[in-house]
Amino acid sequence: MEKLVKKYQQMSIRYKLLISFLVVCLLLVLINGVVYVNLHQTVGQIDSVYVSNIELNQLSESLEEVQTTLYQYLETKSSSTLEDYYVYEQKYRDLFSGLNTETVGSTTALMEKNIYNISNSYLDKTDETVQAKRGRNVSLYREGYAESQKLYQYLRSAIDTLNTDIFLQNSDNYSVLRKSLNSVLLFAIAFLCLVMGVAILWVLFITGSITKPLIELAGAANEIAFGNMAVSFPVVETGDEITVVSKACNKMIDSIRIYIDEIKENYEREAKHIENELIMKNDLKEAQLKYLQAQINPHFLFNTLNAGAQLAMMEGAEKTCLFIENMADFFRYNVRKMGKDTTLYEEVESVDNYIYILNVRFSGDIGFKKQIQEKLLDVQMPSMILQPIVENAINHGIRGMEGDGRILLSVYAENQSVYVEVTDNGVGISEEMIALILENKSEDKQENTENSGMGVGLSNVVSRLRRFYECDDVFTIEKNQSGRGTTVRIRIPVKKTKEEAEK
Amino acid sequence: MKKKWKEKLGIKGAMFVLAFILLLLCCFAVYAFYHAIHAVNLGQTEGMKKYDYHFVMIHSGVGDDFWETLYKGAKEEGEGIGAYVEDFGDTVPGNYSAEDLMDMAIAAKVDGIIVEGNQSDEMRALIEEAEEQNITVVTMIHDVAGSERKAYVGINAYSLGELYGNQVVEALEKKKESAKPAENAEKPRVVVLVDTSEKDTSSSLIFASIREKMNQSGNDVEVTSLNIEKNEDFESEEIIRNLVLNKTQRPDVVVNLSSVDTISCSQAVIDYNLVGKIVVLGYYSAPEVLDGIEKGVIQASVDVDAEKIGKTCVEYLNKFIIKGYVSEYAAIDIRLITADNVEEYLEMAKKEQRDKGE
Repeated sequence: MEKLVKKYQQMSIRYKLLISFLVVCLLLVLINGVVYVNLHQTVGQIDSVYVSNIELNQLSESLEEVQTTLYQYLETKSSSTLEDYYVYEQKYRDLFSGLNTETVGSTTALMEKNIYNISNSYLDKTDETVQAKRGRNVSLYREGYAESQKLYQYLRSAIDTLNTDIFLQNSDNYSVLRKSLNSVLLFAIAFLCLVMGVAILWVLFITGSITKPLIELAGAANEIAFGNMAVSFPVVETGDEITVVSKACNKMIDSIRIYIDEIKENYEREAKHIENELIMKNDLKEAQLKYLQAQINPHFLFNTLNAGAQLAMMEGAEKTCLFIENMADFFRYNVRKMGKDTTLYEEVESVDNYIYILNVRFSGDIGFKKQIQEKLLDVQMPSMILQPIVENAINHGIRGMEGDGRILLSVYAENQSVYVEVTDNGVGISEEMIALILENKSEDKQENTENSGMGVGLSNVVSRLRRFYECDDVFTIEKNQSGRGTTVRIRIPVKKTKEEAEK
Repeated sequence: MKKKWKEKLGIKGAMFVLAFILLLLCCFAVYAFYHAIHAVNLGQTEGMKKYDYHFVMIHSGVGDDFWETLYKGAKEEGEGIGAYVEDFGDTVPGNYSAEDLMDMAIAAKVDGIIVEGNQSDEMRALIEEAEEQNITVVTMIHDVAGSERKAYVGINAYSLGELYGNQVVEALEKKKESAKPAENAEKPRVVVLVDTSEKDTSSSLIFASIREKMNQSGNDVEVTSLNIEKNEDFESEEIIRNLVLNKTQRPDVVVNLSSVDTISCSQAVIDYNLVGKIVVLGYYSAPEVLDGIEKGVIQASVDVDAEKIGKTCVEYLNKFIIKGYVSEYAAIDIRLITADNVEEYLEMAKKEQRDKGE
């Protein structure tokens, strides 16, 4: 049973529906069959009610024929009547042979037995009479005819009585059968109605059990359509296509959720990216603004400086000429590279110019050294990075110290990265200051300090480097181990080489 | 989820219950239907009790209480030994004589015949014919003298006559006491109603016995017999009325030898206000007879155990069929019913009535 139920549950909807409708149809056919058989039987019974009367009538008629032909034969002795006699005798024998011959406790049955036996006696007697007639034994056939006549009368009256009795019985039977036919009809109608009711309930139940999960699925789908992604599809264990659909839907909604999450994440990342870019541009703008404020018409200045250099050449003041050329290069670089990417090489050149200018200004106080691996110089980087760092090292490191201030610029490769280090032997830097710079807050402080207008703030440099290389540890500041001086280190990830940038 | 499951089970349960009820209804309907169909008997003999023997009883008094009781006894006895006793006079229609019925029974090849005998030659010949065809015949009440019947079951006519004789003597003595003997007093008249149709000896034996008793008692009594032809319908009633109305020849005592006569006679006595003037002696314990005794219309009646006669007849038939011999004569006791013991009979009759009603 359980197995059957399980098997049924695993069937497809089509078979489920087919089975339930078949069951209902079969039930109706069965009930109709039962009703039909019952009706058929009752009608058959009704038909057969008066059969016994008909048979008795036939018996009576046949008996009369036997007696008549006997009489005719005795009267005429014609062979045709004798033939008739034998025919009728046989017919009569056939008819009464169906009667009851046993002694039973029913008056009619007993009467049948009596009729049967008297009929035999009667036919014996008629045969005897016919034989006597053939043998022309007049007295014998007369006597035989008289006796057979008597028996004939007995038979007639017995058959009539039996017929009447049976007719009365049959009338009772008929009315009983009529009644039972009526009740069978009534019952059939009531029963069919009941079965209809049950069948309807059954179909409702079956269709309900099939469509209920569908409705639930549809409800869940509707909710989802209105944007409620938290709703999940109901788990349906009917084992049919709906289970498949619900499982698929659940899988689908899970995937959709995952995709939505991913898209959200991507969106957030992109937003952050755009924000970074905006901030970088903002920083650059700030730097530009600061340079523009610091410079009055650079072309005029360059032309002026070039005129000054030519004048110094004509006057034979070579040193002055070099100084003015360096200064012009330095400012040209600043103006030209404003807001553009550049290479480490150009940055280093700009630092050289800057140091030359300062050394002229401060009459060679600054000891500037370079330890550079030339092949690394075409690394891409943002412009105006190294100069501000060197400027900071001079202004805050070695300016206030006693003795010779030295600055070392080294470029080397290590661990897939290019490192640019600016080391000074100045007064060093406080941990607090390092933290402020790295957290991009040094700006406010720097603004209050002197020379703040001269260079771009370190925080700006740090911020730009971080945006450019998209990593936080691109810029470090360390105090030197000797306790004197500071080292500023820029780590350039090697992937940002020129070729790759171009790609 | 749990609730849903429960709900589902509920619906399923209901479905099962409905299906079960449907099945039950179906079974009930089929059963009821077959019951109705089988209540109708279309002449099939299946399931009916089968008997080994078929006996028929032939007698003159169809519809008579006495004969009904007798037949009942015979039938009951037959049931016990596997023989069906048919009351031939009752089942065969038409007004057939005992001889015709005998003839029919022989033609019907029954196993045994119980017949109320008479003295006709035809009856004797029929009994012979029956015996020739191996049909055992037992006579009852009236014997067929000189026939080949295997046994006779009946009352001793002579002792019945004696019984009536005693009652007549008693009645006459009572009358003598109550009425002063008139000078021109006639001889008291006693009339015995004899059924002449039966032509048997028992009636004459009874009559003779009464006369003998009268002679013994030393009364000077005129004892006459009045012949009644039973074969004529309603004849006996008219004869009795005439007898009672005949002022000159009015009898003092009427002796009836059948229950029908007794009832007719007592009714006539009541109708003509002759209770006490005519003493009625009756026959058998029919309710009307008992009623008459209780009211004093009938002085006495003889009770013949009709049931016993019927039983004995069947018993003798059976005995002969099984053993091949049986004693030829079985006498059934007779008892007198008077006002003294009529209560007893009335109660018995009532009880019987009640049993029938139930």
